[in-house]
Amino acid sequence: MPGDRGSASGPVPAVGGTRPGADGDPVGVEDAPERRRILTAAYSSEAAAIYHYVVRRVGSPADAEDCTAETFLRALRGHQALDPARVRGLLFTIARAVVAEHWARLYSEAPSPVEGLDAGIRDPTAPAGPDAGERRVELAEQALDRRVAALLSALPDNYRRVLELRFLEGCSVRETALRMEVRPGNVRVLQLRALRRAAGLGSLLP
Amino acid sequence: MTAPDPDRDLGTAAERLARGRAAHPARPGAAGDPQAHLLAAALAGRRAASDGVPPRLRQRLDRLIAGELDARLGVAPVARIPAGGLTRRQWLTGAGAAVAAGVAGAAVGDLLPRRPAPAEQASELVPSAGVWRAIAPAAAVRPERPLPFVAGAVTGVLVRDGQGRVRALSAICTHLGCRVAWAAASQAFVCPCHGARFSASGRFAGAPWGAGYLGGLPPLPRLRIRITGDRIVEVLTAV
Repeated sequence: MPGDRGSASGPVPAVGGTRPGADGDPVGVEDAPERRRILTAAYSSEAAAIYHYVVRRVGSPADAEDCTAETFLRALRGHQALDPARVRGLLFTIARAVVAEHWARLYSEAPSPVEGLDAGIRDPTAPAGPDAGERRVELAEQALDRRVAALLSALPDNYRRVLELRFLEGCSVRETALRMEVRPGNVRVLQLRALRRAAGLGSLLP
Repeated sequence: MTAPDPDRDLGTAAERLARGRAAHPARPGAAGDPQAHLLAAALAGRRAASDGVPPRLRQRLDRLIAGELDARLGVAPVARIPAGGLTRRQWLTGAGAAVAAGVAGAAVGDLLPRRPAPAEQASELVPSAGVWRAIAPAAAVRPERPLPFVAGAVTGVLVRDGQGRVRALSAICTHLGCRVAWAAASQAFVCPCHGARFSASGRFAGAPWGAGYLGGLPPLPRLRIRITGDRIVEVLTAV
């Protein structure tokens, strides 16, 4: 049956779906109601995505909250024209910078560990399809997952296990000790060695 | 000031992450190991992400956006938000409340939808270097039983829509990336990790965490398909 043809076939253009305002010109600062609408909509739909992106890179919910709020604040205060089709790209570009600053604060005397992380997420004004922001973020998330998995899988079993229990599963020292059948005093030593070993195997950066 | 101790600095920083606590601003880990710290953050962050968005973040953003928009648009008393924004601590203590009080209460209600709707429009996953791959004969896709597949980099499922047309969806949960499975009893895709449900058309259909989650979840992305002359379903996927 003809209906079986499903979605349009053919070459591979960027497709963003229909989005309110996506077909229009960027909205200037002076277009107050429209700007308000776009920012409000972006906030509703993007806050969770930004939070998830950030928390995967700073580690703690509290720091991720601060970074997420800072990201939206900067987006709101920005004076650049607002292209409704590229709000997500803009937000992620800002979020990436905020995460980099978080790490730079912690390591003021060393090169920031996230220098170069997610380098694919950048200039939101670069010519690209309307869903380019989503695609870049999706790729960045996949890349981070792959690198974390690669580092873990290269570790000896007990090192991998202690990292999984403590960080991925959130087990206490005592619980981890029970499950690994080691003394509690050894857990923190083990996790420190595991982190150092993993870091020595390679970087999380591309 | 004691001498820098890399083990102690990294140990402390990692332990804070393991316990879900914020990095200590007064104890920068300069003597520690940034890469090891970052790995700990990536691991702990994955766990934190699976816990969903903290409800108080939404309140904080409500206030922040209402105040900032009103300030910019001149429609209400100007909220005094310090340059650089408010820290979490300020929000939790009086400073946040004071700023929030400065924001016209009515403006918050007018401005922001009470419950943000998740993206209604399914995005389409189109690889930038796509190749068409044959998946199955169209006749093998039955309405009552979606057909899962893995093709190249894409993990998906073939379904029939209400009109009997073949569609392809990504089978990756839009929450945190686990692979969804078809539950025949409830006629829905269910994510094994956190229980998110999606209808046969891929639309988010609820989750155990209820309405507290910011905006629900986006639908399962659609994949581009074509049917060949000999009735084979092909999906556009990445190598």
